This record gives sequence, C-alpha cells and structure tokens, in this order.
Amino acid sequence: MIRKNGNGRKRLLPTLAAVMLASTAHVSQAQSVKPEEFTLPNGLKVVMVEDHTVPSICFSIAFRVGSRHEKAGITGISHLFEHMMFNGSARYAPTVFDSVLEAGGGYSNAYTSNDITFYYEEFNPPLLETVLSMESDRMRALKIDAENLEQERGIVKEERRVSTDNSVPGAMFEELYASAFVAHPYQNPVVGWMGDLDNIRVEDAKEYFRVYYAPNNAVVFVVGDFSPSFLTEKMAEYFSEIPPQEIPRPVANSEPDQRGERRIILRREARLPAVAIGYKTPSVSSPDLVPLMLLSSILSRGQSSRLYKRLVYDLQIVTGIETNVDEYVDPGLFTVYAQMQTGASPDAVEREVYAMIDSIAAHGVSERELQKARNGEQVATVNSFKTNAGIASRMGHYEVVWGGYVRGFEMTGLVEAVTMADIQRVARDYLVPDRRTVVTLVPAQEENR
Amino acid sequence: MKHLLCLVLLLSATEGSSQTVQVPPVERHTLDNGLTLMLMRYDRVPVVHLRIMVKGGSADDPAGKTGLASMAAALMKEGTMSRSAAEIAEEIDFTGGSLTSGAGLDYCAVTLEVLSKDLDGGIDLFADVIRHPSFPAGELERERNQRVAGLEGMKENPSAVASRVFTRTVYGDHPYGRQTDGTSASLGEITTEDLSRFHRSVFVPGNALLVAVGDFDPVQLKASLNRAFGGWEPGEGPRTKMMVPVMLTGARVLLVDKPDATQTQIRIGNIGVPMNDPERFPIIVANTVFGSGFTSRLIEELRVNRSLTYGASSSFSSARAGGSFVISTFTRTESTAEMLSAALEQLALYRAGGPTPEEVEKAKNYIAGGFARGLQTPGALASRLTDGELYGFPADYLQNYITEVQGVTLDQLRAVIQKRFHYDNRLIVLVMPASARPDMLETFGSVSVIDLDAAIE
Repeated sequence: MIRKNGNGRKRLLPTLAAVMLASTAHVSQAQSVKPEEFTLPNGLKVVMVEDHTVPSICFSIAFRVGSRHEKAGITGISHLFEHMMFNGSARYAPTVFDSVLEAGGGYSNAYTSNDITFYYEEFNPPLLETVLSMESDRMRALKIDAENLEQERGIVKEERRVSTDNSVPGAMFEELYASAFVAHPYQNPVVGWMGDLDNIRVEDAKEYFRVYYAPNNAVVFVVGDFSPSFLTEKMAEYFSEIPPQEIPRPVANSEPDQRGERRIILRREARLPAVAIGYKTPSVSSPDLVPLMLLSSILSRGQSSRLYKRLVYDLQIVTGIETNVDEYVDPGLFTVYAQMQTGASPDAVEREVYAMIDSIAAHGVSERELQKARNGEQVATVNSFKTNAGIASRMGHYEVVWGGYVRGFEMTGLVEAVTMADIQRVARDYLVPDRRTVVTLVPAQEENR
Repeated sequence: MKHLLCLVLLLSATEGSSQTVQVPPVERHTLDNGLTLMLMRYDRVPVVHLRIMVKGGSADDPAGKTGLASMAAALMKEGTMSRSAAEIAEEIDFTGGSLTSGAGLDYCAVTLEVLSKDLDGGIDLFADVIRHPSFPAGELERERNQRVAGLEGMKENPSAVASRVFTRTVYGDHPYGRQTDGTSASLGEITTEDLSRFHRSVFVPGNALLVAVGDFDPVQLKASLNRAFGGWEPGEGPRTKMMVPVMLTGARVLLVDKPDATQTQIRIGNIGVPMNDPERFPIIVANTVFGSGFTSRLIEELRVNRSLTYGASSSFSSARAGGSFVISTFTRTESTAEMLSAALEQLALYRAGGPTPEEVEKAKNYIAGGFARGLQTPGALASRLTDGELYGFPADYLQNYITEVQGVTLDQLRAVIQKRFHYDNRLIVLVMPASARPDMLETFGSVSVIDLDAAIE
C-alpha cells in the first residue's frame, strides 16, 4: 500500500486508516442514515446519527485545521499537536484518556492531513458521559507544557523515520509535493520536516491550540447506540462554557500557475527504480473533481483497469501501479505511482502512462468503462457505511474538506451525472505535460555513495 | 488527580463488563457431495460476502517448492476453463466488488463480496474460480516474475524483512518457518502441474466450508449455491498432521545488515501456542495487558515514558499447530541498545510480578469491546465463522467469547506468563546498519550478522 503525502497518525492502525482515507462517493445506503444536527451558542456544531446495530458509540471531533495552516519553520505542528491532545488536560492526568476508554471497552485514535484533524473514539454506551467530560476538558484546557512537548517530539520523529525516511514511497511522495508546489503549504509533508520538528516551541503549541481548537472551529459527529435527546442535553452541559475564538484568517492560495514540466531525481538506496508523477488538479469546489476521480478509477482501480492491464499484465514492466486524485480544499494533484519490475526502465513506464492519458484525451473512454468506474464509487460508498467509525469519518471528511457533510450524501448524483465527454475533457485539460512534476527514484548502490 | 483516576477506572470497569454481543443466527447445511454451508443473514448494508475455506496451506508446501500454496491460490483467479484472467478481472471490477484468493499456513481461502443485486453473477464467478481454474502457463510466468521482483522490493521495507527473518529463524526446521511467499529459487521450481495438483488435493467439497454473510434471501441463496456447487465432485482432502513446533533455546541475536537505515526494526520472541490451546483466553488477556492496545506496558514504557518509538506491541500469531510470540517495535539506530534493555526489562518485570487486578479488568473490557465492534462487517463475520471450523472452536464460540474472556483469573494469568512469555530463551532480530552495532550487543545473546540478500533468500 502506498503511503500518500501526509496523514501522520497517532498510532499504527492500517485498517481504520484505510477507511479514513478511502476516496468516497455516495449511494442509496446513505438514505438509511438520518443525521440530526444542532449548534451550541459558542458555535460548536454537533451531528448525530442514531444506530443500534452494535452496542457501541463512535464519538468524533473534526477540527478545521491541518498542515495547510502551517508556516515555515514549524511545519508538522498540526500533527505533533494531535499527539499532544492525548496527554492530559485540567481534570485528567496524562494517559487517563486512553485508560478510561479501554476500561470502557473502547479505544481512541486520530489522524491529521493537509486540511483536517480528526479525532475519534469508540466505546461501550454507558461510557458516553465520561467521554463527554474528557473531550470537553481537553477542548477547554489541554495541558501544554515542555515535558509533554518533548515526549511527543521524540515519538513523532520516530514516526517520520518509519513512514518517510525509511520508506521508498514515503520519500517519493514527499519529494513530489515539495517540488510540485512552490508557494502553497501543500509543499510541506504533514508529518513536518525533521528540522522543523526540533524547532517547535511550547508557545507555538499554545497559540495553535487557542486559535484552531476553539469550539467554533470544530464539528462533532456521534454515531451509534445512544439517545439523541440525552446527548443533546449533555453536549450543552459539558461544552457550552468553552469560549469561542475569533475565526482564523483564511489561508491564502498563492500557488502560481505551473508553466512547464518539473523533473526531479531522488537518489537513494533501493533495489528497484520507481516513478511518481503529479499533475496540478482543481480543488473540491470544482465540478471537474468528480470526473477526475472517475478517470483515476478507469486508469487504475482493479486488475481490469487501463494502466494495470497494460503495464502489469501485457508489458509486465511494473509490479504495481496506483493513481489518485487529491480531494483537497485548495488545488492538489492527480498522482501516479509505479514501482518497476526488475530490469524495466522508468522511461518506458512514463511513456506508457502518457500514451494512455493521451489516448483518453484524444478518443475518450467507453460507456462500459465509465459505468464500471461509477459502480466502483458506489461500492466504496457502501463500504464506508459498514461501521460507526466509517460513517463518522466520512461525514467529517465531507464537512471540513468538501464544505458540508451533506455533500457526502449527494455524491451518487454527481457520480451518475458524469459523462464520457467529461472524462475526455478533464484528461485533456489537466493531465498535460505543463502541469506535471515527475520524481524518478534512481537506486544508489552502496559503493557509489 | 491520581485519586480521580482510580474512581473513574473502577466505574468504567463495571460499565465495560456488561458488554454483550448479538451474533445473528447461522443456518448450517451439508450438500450431498460433502460441502458444508453456513448462512448468516446480516443486513446493515446491501452487501453479500462469500468465503470458502479449505484446510491445507503453505505449511504443506513441498521442500524446494515453497510458495506453492500461495501461488496456486493467487492464480485460481487468473484463468478458468471458460474465462481468461482479463475476463475475470473485468467481471468483478464491473460490479465494484472484490474477489480475493490466498493461502495461510494451514488453509486457503477465496472470498467474493458484491452488492446484493449482483449476487447471482457473483456466485457463478466464485464457483468457476474455485472449481475450474486452468492455471495458464503465461499467468504463472507473470505471477512468478512479479513475486521475484516483490521479494527484491521487500529489501527496502525493513519491517517486512524483520518479520520474515524472525519467522524463518524462530521455527527452525518446522514447516511454519518456510517462507509462505517462497524465495526466488523456489518460485522458479514451481510448474503448472504443481499448481493443478495442489488445487485438486485441497479444493474438494469434503475439505471445504463455504460461508455466506450479508443481505440475501436464504431460500434463493441456498438454491443458487446448490446449483453452483452441487455438481462439484466429492473428495476428502489431505489428512496431514502438523508437528508442534519446538521452542528455540538459548538467547540469540540475528542482525540483518541494512547499511542505509536510520532506524532499527526489532523483533523479540519465541514459539507461541496452537490456536485452540486450552489456555487461549488467559493468553489473550495476558498479552493485552503486556502489548496490545494503547495503554499496554510496552506502550507506557517504550513510547510514553521514554519516547523511544512510535509503536510497540506484542502478539501471539494464529496457527493450528503453534503460532509464535513476538514483541515488535522500532527506534532510531542510536537507541537500539537502550530499547532492547527497556523491552527486556518490561518482559522480566511482567514475569516477576504479573498483571495487577486493575490492568486485568481494563484488558478484559478492552478485548470485549473490540470483539463486539469487530463483528460489524460481513467480511469479518465470515472470517470468524471459518476460523471456528479451522481451529476447532465450539459452534457457539462467538456467543461465548466475551464470557470466556471475563472468566480468566489472576492465577491463570500468572501461570501462562511464566510458561509462554519466554525471557531466557529468545530470538532477537534487528534490521539496522551493522556498522552501528551497539558495543554491548553480546549481552543480549550470541550474535550473528547476515546481509540483506541472505535475509530474503
């Protein structure tokens, strides 16, 4: 599995993480999900989905902040901060948060990405009020001190070593985003640059907490086995007194238009060459994003997809190939990643990928291919409704990134509306050499170093 | 503050212990040819998951042809008598569903998951892949090349290298120590005849359990499965008995040299227990206190107190005749010796003092909650059902799981910790630059060093 740019997590939990990151679309399934919402006077929005399938509750909070809000010199603070959220608050000593949850049959986790920081825990229903007490306490009065910061700094540096420095795809994607973006913070890895991790100070963390962790910058999603009237009453009791803050100034998108291909060589110890390609694409606010998602599916979802069939089956020059479209608040990338088969050259792979894209730009795709892509999105949506945590994280993603959790319920329509002409048009408009950045991994043999 | 903690813990422990689990009822049938069916209706999402499990897997690979079961299982969906690999892929991809096939140490499994509306076509494809794979020579060649390249690529994944070397070494000559995905040499020896022979020997109705979980009409599904599998020629399958693995004795350190690594991947452990060990539940609880979840002893000490790592866990792996016990973690290269001392110290402390009653209560509730939540998806339920059959658990084991966990006593825990959490006899695997080898490494066991290529062969 390729580790995309970003998404440091509090801990290793690959299965759930996959649910979290799954690109999504909507299907009739969502009709059985009936969210109810209200907003406290301090601006904290709460969305509830009552579901008694299993005796468990998922409580989650999405904060409208991520590495997109970071400044030079302290990159990685969003993710480092996410770690600090588990280390105690005014009324709860460090480690109590997790001990209480586990004793109540639950667990907690969180993830940070470019645009969102998402916390969630699942637990047995009787623990609900205790969780509200702990969650409100850390939103009101998180413990932020030197000891806490130093502890997590060391842990996050280990996380960076395992996910980026000692991982070929991790290093490749870091290089790709760092080269594709010259002004936008998407150029920085979510986990942060190693030097910056050493540079973050307690005052930085305190200011970050005050500005971004205010109730009016957060949305709560609760899914599972609870009574909405009880929760409504208790949310007010525990969260109402947390004061709102001035809404942070919006992040400027000063990324200039790219005018020409950028080619980067990454030389490091590796057995097989690899290539990562990124094209500048629009943000989630563009009607072109959904067609691009379907185009990605046509190119690489499943063994019958265009690139998989051509490169893995017919030519046998790669061991695997993946494409993805960023669902970001600001324009992101359409990425392609391939690891070469022994003896194959990245040049040949690049040529094949470009020929395939050009062919779609020139001749389009078949109706069956488009329908297959739509079906794939539909099933991905159904899959996100399998678990309480899946439903909560889907709503959080759409709320913060797409501008409203309701957008997640409208995707079926958007996916069904995409035409063959749309697919051809987005291939022609976006997947062009001038918008492209290419990172090639050149294995550096030990003796040459 | 400490006081508050105790109160809260006590309260939650009571709350957690009320955990129950509602497992939907299972209908069990046996077809005339001996194929067992288990049907479980579960309609949270409009999806059906089919899973067939046969006994016999990678541990049965002939010497010199390791990787055979894994290759055969994978290639079942790369061509049948009436469908090419491309046609199979197109058919499943068009539904948006998934079709998987693979081998474990003791079993092979094929799964299919589709929206309920696509079930009929899905069953047809599923049965074809199971009953009539053709193992085309071209697909074997392609898969072989893929896997050889995959092994080469694995050398850049220190965590995978560490796990592979640990497994191979801890089992010694036992078949469980063989590389389930083969080696570049053994993969080269596998022929299409080997694949067919393996498939014919294990994929027979009397050796198979077919489970369906999801949103379906039981009468209709039974009829469809009867149509698809009723004509499958009967057969009993192999009756091989796997020896119980022998514990590794003495303290050994195996260092895999990865010159460019800036972090050391660490595995510490020995042989574990068979899946249906009578002390299975005490072991699950004991391991949770020590190395599972986010408040385990390993996490508290290695991550929270010392910031040595991002992750630390321990586990008992599942295998019929005997899994392994392993502590897994990683740290920056310079901290390797400190990490080894700290991890072993935790192991020694645990053996000396055992868990506290509070730790045990917390662990039991944590296991119970996770178990209940783990039954939310059709795929997870299907796996649990075939596991029951494979490992010989009682028919009602899902219903009784939480009760069994809650019934574990402190005495049982102290006994299994002494018996199963090996300290003096241990294998330590390190993947790191040999040039950064700590001075005091010999104090952890007799050291041998191998290079990366030897580690993957």
